[in-house]
Amino acid sequence: MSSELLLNIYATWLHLPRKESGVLVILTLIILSSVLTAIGIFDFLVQKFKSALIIPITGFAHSMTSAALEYKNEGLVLGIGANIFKLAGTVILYGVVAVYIFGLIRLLIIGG
Amino acid sequence: MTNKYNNVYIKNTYTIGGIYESQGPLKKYFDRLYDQNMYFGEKSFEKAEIKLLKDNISYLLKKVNFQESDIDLLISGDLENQIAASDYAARNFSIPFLGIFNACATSGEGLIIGANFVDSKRAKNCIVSTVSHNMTAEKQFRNPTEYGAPKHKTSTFTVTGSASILLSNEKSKVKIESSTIGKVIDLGITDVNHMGAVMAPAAADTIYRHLTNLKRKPEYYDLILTGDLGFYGKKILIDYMKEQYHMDLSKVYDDAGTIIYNLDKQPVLAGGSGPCCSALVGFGYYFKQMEENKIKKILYVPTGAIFSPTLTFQKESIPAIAHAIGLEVTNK
Repeated sequence: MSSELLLNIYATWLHLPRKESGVLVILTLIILSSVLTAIGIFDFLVQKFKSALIIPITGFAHSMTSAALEYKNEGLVLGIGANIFKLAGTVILYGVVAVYIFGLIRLLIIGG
Repeated sequence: MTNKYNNVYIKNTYTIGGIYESQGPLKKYFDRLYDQNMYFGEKSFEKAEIKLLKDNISYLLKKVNFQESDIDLLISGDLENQIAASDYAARNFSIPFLGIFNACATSGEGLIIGANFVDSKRAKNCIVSTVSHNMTAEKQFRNPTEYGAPKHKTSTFTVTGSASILLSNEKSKVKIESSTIGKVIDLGITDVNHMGAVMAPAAADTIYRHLTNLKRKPEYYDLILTGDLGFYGKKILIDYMKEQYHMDLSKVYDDAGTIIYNLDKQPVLAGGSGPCCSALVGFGYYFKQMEENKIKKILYVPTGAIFSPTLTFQKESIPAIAHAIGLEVTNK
């Protein structure tokens, strides 16, 4: 609901079409959740709101930021680089696989 | 295997508690509190855990006015991979070192090894230490610490703290009277969020064998204290002892995981866990009660789920262990 509100605000204030203002909404949510993770607030919010924050893009951004924070002491390459996708990697992999499968189904049934 | 000891005494102990422990009911019984943050002035949680143990052993030596050369053996263990906290802390002391791992039952394993060295007169003074840090345990066994994934109500909360116990052959107020080494028990539970259920059968087996081998009743002890079964595990153990072994523990039994925190007010779910949970309660709180003659005989039963996250992902069930150590007040 808050995303919908944000979408309308962007659409009216910046005079953007709905599709482009949607991109801005996603960017805002990603930045906001990453900052909240970094200052140590997001994990308390997760305890309270649970899946409402974990399932959307906020959860994805949070999983990457929290992993990066966790491994920052082990260096840029072997620490952050190797571990930032520790939780998010599985979402990316199966997200891409699912897109291929459903894209193929759509192509075969509806024809593109 | 049950052993009796004649000349193993606990000369002194030193305990350090962290933030959550200092908000709990046992605050005033810990020798020192590290309650400012979780880093203790170090750069990472792992280094903080090393500092916790290093400081603990130094303060214990200072408390009893001993030099490093007076100690024959240092036994220590923790939850980190390669028991890193113990290894890295031990490099600061010129004391022969044995590193051990029994997860949350580590303090029990250490006490049994130490007691055997002292009883057989191979060592005069021996320090048994253990340390745990909530954040390193979270990182090691669960998700990144900042992730804060919602947890099941049966899961427990790793204690931050460290405890060192100085065993000696010189007579003092509290003696280690007997011990039973636990068997690894696995009833096929795979739920890592319910360690109480995993460890309760191991505790039951050890308590039963200890009591029958020594021909004692549960009431022989003023208190039977398990390590970290938590709120639900505690109930499971009482039921399991009744069903399986026909023994009623309910009058003398308590669990350290439910004592160390205020379960109603603190965000610790089913209670405390970790190698230091049993050690802080047993040797921070109850040891002082024994010194003041308020409690005479305790059966200390630290419990541990000795599992590897890798094998849990490979669908293996979780093995558990518990050791029993009988503590008694002497007439000194």
